Amino acid sequence: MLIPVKWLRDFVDVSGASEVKDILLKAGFEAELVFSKEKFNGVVAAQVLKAAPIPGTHLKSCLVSDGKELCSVICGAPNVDKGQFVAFARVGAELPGGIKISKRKIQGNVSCGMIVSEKELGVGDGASGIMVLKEELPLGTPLTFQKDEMVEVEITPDRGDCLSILGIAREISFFGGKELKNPIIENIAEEGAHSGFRVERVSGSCPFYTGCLIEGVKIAPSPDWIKNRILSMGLNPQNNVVDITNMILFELGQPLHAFDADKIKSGIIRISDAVDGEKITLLDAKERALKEGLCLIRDGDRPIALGGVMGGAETGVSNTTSRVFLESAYFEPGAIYRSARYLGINSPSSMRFSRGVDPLMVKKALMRAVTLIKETASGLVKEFFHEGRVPGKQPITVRREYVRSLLGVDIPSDALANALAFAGDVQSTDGGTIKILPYSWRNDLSIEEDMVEEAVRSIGYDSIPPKYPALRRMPYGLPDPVRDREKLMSAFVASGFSEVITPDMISESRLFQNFPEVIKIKNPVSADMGVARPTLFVNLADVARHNISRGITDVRIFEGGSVFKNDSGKYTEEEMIAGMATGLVAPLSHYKSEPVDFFYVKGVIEGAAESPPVGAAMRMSVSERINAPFLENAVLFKEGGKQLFMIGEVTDKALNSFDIKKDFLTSPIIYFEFYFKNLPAVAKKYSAPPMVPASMRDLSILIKEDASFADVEKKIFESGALNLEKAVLIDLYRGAQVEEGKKSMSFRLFFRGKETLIHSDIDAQLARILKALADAFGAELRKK
Amino acid sequence: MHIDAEISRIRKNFFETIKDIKTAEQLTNVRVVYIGRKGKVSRLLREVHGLPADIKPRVGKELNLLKNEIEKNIMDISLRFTPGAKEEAIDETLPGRPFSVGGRHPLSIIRNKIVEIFFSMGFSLVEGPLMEDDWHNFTALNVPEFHPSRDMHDTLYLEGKDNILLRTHTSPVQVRVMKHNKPPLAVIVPGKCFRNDAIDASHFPVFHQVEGLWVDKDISLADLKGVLSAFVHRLFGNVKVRFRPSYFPFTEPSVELDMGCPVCGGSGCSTCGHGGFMEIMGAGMVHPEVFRNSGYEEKYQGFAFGMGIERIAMIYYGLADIRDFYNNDLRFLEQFK
Repeated sequence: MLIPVKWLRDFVDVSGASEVKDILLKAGFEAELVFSKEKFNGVVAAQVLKAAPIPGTHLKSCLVSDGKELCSVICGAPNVDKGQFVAFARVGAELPGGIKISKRKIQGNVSCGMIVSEKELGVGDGASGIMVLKEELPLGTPLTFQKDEMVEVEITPDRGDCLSILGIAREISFFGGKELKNPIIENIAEEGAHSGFRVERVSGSCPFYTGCLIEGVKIAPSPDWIKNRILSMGLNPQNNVVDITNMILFELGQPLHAFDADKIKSGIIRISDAVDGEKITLLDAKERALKEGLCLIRDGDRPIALGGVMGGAETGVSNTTSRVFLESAYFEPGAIYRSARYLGINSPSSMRFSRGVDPLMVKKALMRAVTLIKETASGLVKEFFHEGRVPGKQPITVRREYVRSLLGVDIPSDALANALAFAGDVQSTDGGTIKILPYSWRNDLSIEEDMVEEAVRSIGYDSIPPKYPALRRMPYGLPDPVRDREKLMSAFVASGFSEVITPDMISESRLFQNFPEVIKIKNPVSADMGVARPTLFVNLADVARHNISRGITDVRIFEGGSVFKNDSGKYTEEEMIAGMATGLVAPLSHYKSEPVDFFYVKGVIEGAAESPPVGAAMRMSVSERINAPFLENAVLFKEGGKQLFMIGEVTDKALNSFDIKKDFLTSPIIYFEFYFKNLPAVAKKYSAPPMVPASMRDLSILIKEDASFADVEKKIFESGALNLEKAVLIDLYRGAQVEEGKKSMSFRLFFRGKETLIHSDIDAQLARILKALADAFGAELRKK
Repeated sequence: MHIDAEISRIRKNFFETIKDIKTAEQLTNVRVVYIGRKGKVSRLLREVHGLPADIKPRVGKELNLLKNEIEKNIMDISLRFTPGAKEEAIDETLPGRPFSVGGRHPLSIIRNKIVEIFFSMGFSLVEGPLMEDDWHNFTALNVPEFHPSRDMHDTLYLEGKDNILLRTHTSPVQVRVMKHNKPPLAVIVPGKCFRNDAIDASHFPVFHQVEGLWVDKDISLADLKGVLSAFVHRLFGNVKVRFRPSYFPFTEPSVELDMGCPVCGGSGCSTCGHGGFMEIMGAGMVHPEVFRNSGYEEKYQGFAFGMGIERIAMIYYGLADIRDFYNNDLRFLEQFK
């Protein structure tokens, strides 16, 4: 809400905008000082070098210098004189109201520009002559003027009563300790006979409706003081009647609407709800389709206004209007909010009605409007109408003890009653309770807690002493699943990966055809954020591109986030860690470093998963080749039927479509997803370090190419070998020394018994292992 | 006296000699000359027997001290000639084998700092879903469907379902927690939130909040002030803290918490909009409607608060543009390691 300080002074004395701002901050309103924008440009400081009267006219022929050139200007102002410094609108300048200055002829004399008055610039009321500048500005300086001081106040949705100059004045009066000058509004008597008009109120959305029929109205431009107020609120003045209704809306917070009464053919103003399929064209010239239940004002059956939101185009006041029907009503806040939201209209009127206006102001605002219309547009007050009842309020009981309990500080009864007097009429104070009837404009007050807030707002938050509550429950801090996730993320960090955080909304087009069942967002911020992401790949590829294109070739990133899935109508979100790596494993240096590859990433994930308590279940996982979007050679690892992690290489096609330049890369880009939520819970067992040393033996075998490491390892342990603790693959060789179709695998085997093992016993275990491998894979001992 | 002069001459000569030692052989020679069996000090020590009784103890003591001093110096020098060190000359200024660790994202770092402070005060952590229903996100929090307070959040709704949205704040988790737990309880809820905001230096459609809730029989606004002031002081040090009235549908009374601007110290600068204070969180006493919607039948009181992690991080690190957090430029991220 914009508050012009000058206008505010009608209701409360304030020194200036900063005082207003400071007081409002105490009251709980954030306010900013603003200066209304200049509505002109191309106006510069200039000097009148010559001013010669043109015989037979009131005009003077002037020679004006704007520092750059000399212009001959015809000026009609009586006060223009040689030597003056003036505000000069050059050819091409724009003045308020959209006036463009061009070269033109005035009574046969060519004028190149215009020496302007305060009024023409909209910076003051001085219209009697041109504006003479006091300061001798350098010629040609563009002119700006500080206009009225204004304060932009942020009004929270509960405080509809503060969407007016009067409402803000009330707050300032209380929190600044200043007297409130309530507007004096007199009742006006009907001057005519029965008008034949009728108001019928059918809709439940309008509990109270008043109106006035005025005849013989002379529509004309508003007087300057009204025009200036309309301009100061950022609106364009229209005519006296419309400007008065708008001005009162801002001043008293009561929206009014003026109809051209001659266009209400039936003579019946009917307030009733819309039915599906009805249509109306509103003042903004747009036709709107209505739905059942929206509150309408009708001429008989014909909709002529959307109640509380906006008037209709056909019945608006125009220059030819002479009979005006003026409406002032109280609409149900919820109903108006619903209408406005359904039609996507946020008018000054709907904004106020949907927050609740002061029901006792409805009639007063009508009286003020009628008074002003009579003053500025003459007219005869034919008849007043009112239908329905002003909605009342219930008193609220405030217990002093409850105030103490909620605020943590005891406020004596008298002080409490004083503090609350701002919010309503104190009806009684006895014992520890105060009964208070909220003021008619305070639609935000309905329960005891509301009054507690008023009390603390009134005594100030600084008067509450800080305390520390006693904790009566044992805290657990971090829940285990969150702790596990944090641990995993730390492990990725320790492995050289940087955490990134990206938006959960992505562009559907980036997914191609890979994810047909995405969850779309109804009202996306932009098409770039049109769907809830079904994969973290897109964001990570974007981050990779961002960095690679800036010359960073070693990129190792991960994100812990959720993906969103539409599982045939069931919407689910699933947490995972996903990452991408490319470049060298160790940073650039003179030491040897390996490029990132599949097994590097697999090692990082295995290492991260080793961190307790998630355990080493991963080693037992089974793998399968899968087709994964954006990837080739993708492998999925599973454990107990559940997906554990997936690793794959980003395809050239994907690199292309994500605009990642392959030339910049020093290794493939490896992408992974780690479904850490599926890690089996492993109850770890701990023991003292072994007392007996392990015995090591190396076993080299020749084995056919298609025997996988996992199968061979499994077979070693299933061979029946006793005391086998660990088997580590220490060499893998294919090549000239080995016959075609075979490979050489060397394992270092660790045996540990309860006592130190003897050679012959270990030899027997080795034989068992070899036999098992020979039976299963045709493996044979490799001869050196 | 003759013997005292002899002792000081030996000491002087010894220290002159060791200055020039270059090799282990030279050092061995020095050892032999001074403290070897026939060395200068050993010779004098043998002569102590024959000295007059009145000076014998003093001279003996001095000679022993000298012998120890010489031994210690020879030992120190000998370290230069230990085997191995002389075999390979290294350039110890070469960089070590590079080993790079990554880093957490600054928003995670700040979230963890915030969370740890509240842990120390007895809060426990809870998380909630990102896809929320309208009831938990709004209605249960005293934001009815047709009320202007709905306009305070620009909500992102999901297609294909009525009333499913991306949560606009972490507050719905308050209701989820209270539905399953009876007071006393003190929880904090960090997490991502979403709003249909146009992107600029201080707005992004994705952001993070930390929500807090403390409910018991007699929790008051004074407790809120104590806990939240202590939090601000822990995180930002000795700054001013200001509470002022505000409005949130789910709290009554509601407060806004400002802290003294860390850039200008409160005198007013462009960072704080010349007000000397920066808004850092909203808070208030839980509205009775929220308790009712959470299924509490008994009378409880409590406070709730919520802060934007991005905002706190920007103040903490002195950053000006929220978009930097979401660009994930590694040169930016690496600073926070």
